[in-house]
Amino acid sequence: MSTDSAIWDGESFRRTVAGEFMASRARGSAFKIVEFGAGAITVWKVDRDATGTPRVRSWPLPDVTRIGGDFFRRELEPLIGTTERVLVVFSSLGAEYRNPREVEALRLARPRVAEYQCPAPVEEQLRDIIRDLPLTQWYELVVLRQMPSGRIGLDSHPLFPPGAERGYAERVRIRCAPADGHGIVFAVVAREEDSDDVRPLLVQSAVIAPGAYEVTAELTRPGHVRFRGLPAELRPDPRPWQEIIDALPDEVTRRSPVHLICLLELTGTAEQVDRRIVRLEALMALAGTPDDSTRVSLVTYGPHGYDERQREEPARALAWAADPERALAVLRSLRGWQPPAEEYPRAAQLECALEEVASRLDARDGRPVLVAAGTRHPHPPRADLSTQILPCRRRVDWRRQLAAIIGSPGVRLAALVEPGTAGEAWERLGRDGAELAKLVDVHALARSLALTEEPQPVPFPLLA
Amino acid sequence: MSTIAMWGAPSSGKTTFLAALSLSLAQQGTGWKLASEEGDEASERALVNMTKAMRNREFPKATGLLHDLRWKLVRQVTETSGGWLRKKELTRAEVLTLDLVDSGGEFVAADNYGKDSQVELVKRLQESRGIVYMFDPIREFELRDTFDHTFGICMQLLGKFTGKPGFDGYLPHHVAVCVTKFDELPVFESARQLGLLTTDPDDPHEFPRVAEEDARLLFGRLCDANGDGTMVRQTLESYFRPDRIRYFVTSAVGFHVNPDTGVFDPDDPQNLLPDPKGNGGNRVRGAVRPINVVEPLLWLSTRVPSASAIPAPAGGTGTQAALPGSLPGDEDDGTRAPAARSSQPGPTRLAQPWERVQP
Repeated sequence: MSTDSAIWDGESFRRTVAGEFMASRARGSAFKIVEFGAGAITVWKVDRDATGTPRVRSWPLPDVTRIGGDFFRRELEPLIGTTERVLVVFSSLGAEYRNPREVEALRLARPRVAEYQCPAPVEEQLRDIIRDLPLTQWYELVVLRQMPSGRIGLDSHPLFPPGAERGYAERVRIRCAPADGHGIVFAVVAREEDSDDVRPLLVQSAVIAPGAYEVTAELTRPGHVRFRGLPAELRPDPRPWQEIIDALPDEVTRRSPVHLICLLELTGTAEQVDRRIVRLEALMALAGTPDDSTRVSLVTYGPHGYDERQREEPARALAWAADPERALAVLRSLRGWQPPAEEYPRAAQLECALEEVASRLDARDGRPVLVAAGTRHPHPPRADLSTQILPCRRRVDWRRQLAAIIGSPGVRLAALVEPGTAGEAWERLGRDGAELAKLVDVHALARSLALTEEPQPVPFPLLA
Repeated sequence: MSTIAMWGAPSSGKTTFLAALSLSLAQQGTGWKLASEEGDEASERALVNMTKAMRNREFPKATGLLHDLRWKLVRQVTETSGGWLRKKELTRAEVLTLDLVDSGGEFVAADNYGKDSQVELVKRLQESRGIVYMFDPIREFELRDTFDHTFGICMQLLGKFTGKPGFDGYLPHHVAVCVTKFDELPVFESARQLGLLTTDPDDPHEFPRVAEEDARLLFGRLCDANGDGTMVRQTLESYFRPDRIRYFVTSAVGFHVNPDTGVFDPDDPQNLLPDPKGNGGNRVRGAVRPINVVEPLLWLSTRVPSASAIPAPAGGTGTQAALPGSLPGDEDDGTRAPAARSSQPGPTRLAQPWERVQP
């Protein structure tokens, strides 16, 4: 309290202002401050907006020394208007400036006006005061929830309750799907207690790679939220809120997860095998982006061995329903394969590889896309008069195994072959795409197999 | 001394047949064994090399030159004589001479007509009394040249006998017609589809066989697969007396045995593997178990008058007289020594076609 009985100090001003903020929770209930500062008079109007966020507007007045006549009536009184609560602040002034003519006129017009002597300008003090004010409404993050039917619904996830103060933090696990050029919108809305109506408070966006993220939302001051844990910095979204809402699709037809299954035949020359590996690598890389739900499998096979001098490597699933990066690493480790000294030259264990696939297929891994890279006939289940190829040692029937695979919903089959590859097995394996390994356009093949289908943009984060 | 000649088109399996003979004798345990004549190093070396190749699961090199290979089949026989008070057991050795002329096939080619090589072949056949005629159904299906190989030789050979006394319009030879490569899928499947497969109950491996009485039928059907092939059978049966022709279905390498069950598996019968050297050839996949390799020779040995006996060194007085040389019109008149027959029991004909054995 100052030595003058009618003038309060800065601490009192701060308490009074904070109290006025708490009392003015309804829109339109404002109070004003007339600041007599160093060489300037500023009128401040302080209230809250519809979201309960403190709002401050100011009107600096022209230099009173250059204006003659009745300054109060011409300049001050219109700005003050009929506002009930008016505070007068002398900031950055000595006591000798407390009684200018304008102040006298204000005291006459508002005998009950409170006066304060503050060491710092009002703007600076208001900033500090507002920053520490508790929230008066719920702050919530706008998210999307996908129904089992595929339709999506807009929803909000609570972040900060009423009464939360600066520094309050909340963790949220979200998932970002592919979006358009505007990216993912992180919109914070305010909601009054016991009301379902929400109002947009803060709308920011950024282009964020699809994936799951654990995000921390922190209240930095009323009306402002900082998000940590995102790979890109959020910036204010320039679009009107309604325009953003209108762009939301009613239904998100998400591409069903894909399970790319690669069969790699280890026969022939080292060059042929290396070429098959390179082509499959390219397909795996395409299938791995941008949807992180893609799964990749790799099954290798060679010929059966029929005497002790012939090496037999059984058909093996070296990777099954694995992350694309891991499957790629396994495939790359096969570079440099060398043919054995002796092997059965007329067939390969394609039937055993198909059996391996058929026994492991699970719809939960995704829509199967089977791509076989090879050239030899499968071993038949029994002696075959037409080909005279020695039968599979386990009597596996490739037709039966392939039929089991084809029975999976949405399955696609493609073959990468050598010139001269013939036979019913490769004809059926290339049902949806048959290409020469050395000439194939991998991108075109991937598109034809729906490995790289363009996803529908989803503008808001999905709640994980 | 008369000979038994092997005659057939190139790659009809003659060399492999010969190599399989020694293995087959050992496997069958009939008591017969092969021996070469003293001083005949060529025959001895040939036999050793051929047998060694087969044991290594390789095919012996085909013979390229006309040469004589001569071996003897020897076994010990025990006979009982005398009444019930004075029984005597006589042990003697039985010896059959096999003078095999392996012409190497290409010498019988039709376009070699009149050449020295073919003249020599006809001469050898003229001197023989038994012929092992090798018929390769796989080659016939692919090349259709069996008739070309057969007709010209038969005609020239008959011409050598037309002026001889007692000529009755037929060649005097006994002919064992061997349908080869029974182990290969086309031949095996043909026999199976005709319902001609049988099995011997005493065979631990349960290999399929074609009974002798059905072998002629199979030969005929395989010949009938091609138009010219029919003429092969007709040629043989018109130049040689039909009652002096017997048919055998043979395999030098035999069938594959399932290593898990130890028996023949009709779903996987092939005993050949492609040669990994990529030269288009084959090698043997598993153990060699020849089928009907000994039987044609044993049959011929009962028909041709070349058998001679050597008395046993001790324990018996029985001898076997040398048989007279043969002339056209030889028949088994009962004075010939008892035939050395295969010790294998006869096959049992199945009432139904071959059924797949479930492992």
